Amino acid sequence: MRTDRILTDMDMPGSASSTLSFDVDVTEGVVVMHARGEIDVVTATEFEKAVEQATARYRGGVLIADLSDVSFLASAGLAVLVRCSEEFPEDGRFLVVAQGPATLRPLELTGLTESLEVFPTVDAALSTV
Amino acid sequence: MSPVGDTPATPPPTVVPDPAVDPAPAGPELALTDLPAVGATLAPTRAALADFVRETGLSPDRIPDVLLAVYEAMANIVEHAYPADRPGTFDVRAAHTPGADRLTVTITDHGDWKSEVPDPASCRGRGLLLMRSCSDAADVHTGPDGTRITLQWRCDPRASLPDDELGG
Repeated sequence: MRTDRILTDMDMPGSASSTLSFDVDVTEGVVVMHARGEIDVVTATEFEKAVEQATARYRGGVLIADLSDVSFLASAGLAVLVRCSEEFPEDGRFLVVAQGPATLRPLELTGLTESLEVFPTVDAALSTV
Repeated sequence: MSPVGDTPATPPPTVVPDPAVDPAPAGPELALTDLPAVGATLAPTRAALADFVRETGLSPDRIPDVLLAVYEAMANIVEHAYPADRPGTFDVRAAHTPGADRLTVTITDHGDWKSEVPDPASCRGRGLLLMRSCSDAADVHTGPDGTRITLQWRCDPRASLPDDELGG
């Protein structure tokens, strides 16, 4: 059995495009940015902009990037997490929530669970604030 | 004049067998060819590969590894294989060889990785690390016509995958 396919626009249903959306909650100086979708080559820029905007709006606080509903995390997204953490204001904290094969595994395989503050749940992250 | 009883059969797709990659009898295959090396190609290709891999019997908990490793290989091509003003194409082929109990994915481009000056801010190192750590065997072969990345997974985690079957 053999399948030969050339992907064209007609073969690409909308669901095949990578999508990323955000919800932001703010409680007592803690910004929780819930990301939903895929963080890949195409969407990494949107992710970085969203974190930067949240950082600028809630200066000096704590930002939690909640990746619980992220179904795919590529190295382009890892690079954004690293930059956001490095560029975060020194008087604040940048925390990451990740669990499961889609998000925690790439963080672990690249050693970033050592250099980033990574928690399994939002509650676990909040408990350290 | 109309053709009478002599309709030529559709020629089979031309596939150049690569014994270094896949010496076992053929099983299900997926061939995605002449994909534009741009970011928008990657998610649909990942989705097509996901559909294929789900049918191979690979352990479900390995599927995210396959999709991530192949994605990183493709992302590297999109970002590094071709000059920005002259985007090229790449091919993705996946083959499940039940006899050898193995999934092999090859990602081939016709560009030149060497032309890329390493960018300290790039995520290239992390991507290649993920590509290797998420596969059971990984080989990057660069020749005059481009680069071929071969990634393999054991479908049965108890089976061994001889390293020497991947040529350098």
